[in-house]
Amino acid sequence: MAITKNIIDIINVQNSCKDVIQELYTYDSRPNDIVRSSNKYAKIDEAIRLEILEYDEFEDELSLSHDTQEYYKTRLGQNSETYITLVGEKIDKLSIQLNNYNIRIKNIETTDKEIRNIYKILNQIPSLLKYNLHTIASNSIFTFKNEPNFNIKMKSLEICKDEILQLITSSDAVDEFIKEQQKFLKSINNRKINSAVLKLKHNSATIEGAFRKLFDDIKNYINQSIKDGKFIKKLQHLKELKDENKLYTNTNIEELSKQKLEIVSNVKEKRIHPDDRVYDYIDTIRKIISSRAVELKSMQEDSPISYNLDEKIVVEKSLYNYPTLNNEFLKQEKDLVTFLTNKEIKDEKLLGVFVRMIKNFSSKYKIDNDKFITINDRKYIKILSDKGAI
Amino acid sequence: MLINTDELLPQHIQKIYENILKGNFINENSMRNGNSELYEAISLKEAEIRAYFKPIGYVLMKREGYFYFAHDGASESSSALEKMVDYIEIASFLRTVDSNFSVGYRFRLSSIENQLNNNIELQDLANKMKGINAKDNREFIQKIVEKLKKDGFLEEVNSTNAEYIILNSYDYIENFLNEVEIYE
Repeated sequence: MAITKNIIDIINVQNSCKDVIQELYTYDSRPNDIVRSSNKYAKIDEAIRLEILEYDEFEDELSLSHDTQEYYKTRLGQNSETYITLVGEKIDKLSIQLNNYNIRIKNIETTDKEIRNIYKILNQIPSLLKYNLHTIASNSIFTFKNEPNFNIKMKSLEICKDEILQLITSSDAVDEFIKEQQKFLKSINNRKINSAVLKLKHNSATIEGAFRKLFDDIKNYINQSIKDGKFIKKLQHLKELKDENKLYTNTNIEELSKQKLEIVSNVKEKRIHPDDRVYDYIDTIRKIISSRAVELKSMQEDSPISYNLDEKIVVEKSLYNYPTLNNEFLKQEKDLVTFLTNKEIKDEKLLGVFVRMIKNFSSKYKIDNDKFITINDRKYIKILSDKGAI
Repeated sequence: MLINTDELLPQHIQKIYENILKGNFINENSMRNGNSELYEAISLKEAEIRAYFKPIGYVLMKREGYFYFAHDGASESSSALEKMVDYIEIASFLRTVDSNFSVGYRFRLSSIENQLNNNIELQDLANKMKGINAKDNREFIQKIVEKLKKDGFLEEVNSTNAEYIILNSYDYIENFLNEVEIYE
């Protein structure tokens, strides 16, 4: 497809030529004058300029460009067959046509037919290379993503890998042939052939990178599939061990489970209280945490509010009866943290118990956002019971 | 680096708390409950959020395309291990249905049911799965889908044709099982 052109132009022209494209897709080629007379509103000249259609001035016929054909075949899901050997056949045909041209020149005969054929073949080769490239790309991606059977997938990917190697070899053979025949092709001194050779060389340079990338992609698909295959075998093996009740003795699954402290379901199990709704208290907790102004870089030992991020707070709820603590707190006038200190809550548990008290009973507390009480270099926000509020 | 927790948006913090309480994953490829937006928000403030939750015992974990929260000492519970063991059969069955069954995989309930109806190997596997009791193939598939959905590994993308997508968090199961060493 002529991707360097404005895509909107291409779509407009394609839309105007819908019927023509459909007809040419069905019949390969049609007489130019008949198509034009029956499709007056189709922008056929524009379509030729944009390489959507091809016009053969010798036969006065229209056909779809190879790129357009490929595009529609791909859209219709018909692009799974590769024709790599055709590239070699085209070189053979080109060689024959060049030979015939040479003979006719020597016999001073007209060479129109040979020139037409040489031009046609030179034009077909880049499209054929691109067609095969796209087909292999499409097949490999489709196989990698959609083939459910592992064995079929591996076989298909190996075929794609072989095909891309063959295609690279064919493309190299084309380059080599053009290089060998360069002088001869120049001697034909035909404007159209010269432009076709230039186009072929340009295309060859462009798709060389695409060949390499596709080859790497296919190798990656194969490697990933091998990895998947190993994993599938491992799963089957694990299942067998499980069925035979040997899973725990023949694997390190228990040890692995202990090493990985990341078991999500247990986060849920660690909920502090059955009707825990932490987010109801989010503002309070946010204030407490932000008041500690965690500052990683400037964390200095002499700062009274410095906070060690690695410090672990373990709340052992079984040790404290929170409703009783709350009732006692409501009956006295001290602030919460002083009250807890007086209750001889251990230093390392103090923060956890403090947070829990707020979380569970904050509706009964008065929280003074501006006042803090410092205990053991930590600042606790000042919280009083409703009854004891100042 | 200054960690300024004031810059965290309250609605995101609330959402994260909700996820922590439910033990959920936060998936990039989830289209529901603002999950992908939350993933984006956490990605932008990852360090701040990690610092925010660490003092209260929750560790933000990041994997390819999903976040989740871990808790110190979580692995002491045997139920987590049992859950993983349950998934050996399910993961093995699903990979037999389609070797591509992994993160990002899309499928319709009916297509898996069809495969199960027509594949004796699969039926044999299904019959041997002790943890799932079902009266027919459809119910069997539905039960697997429900389990994956409940555990946060799968999401419905189209209720009309019962189409589902495997979320990034499914990697959590596969990653764990892949790391298990088998003694020869």
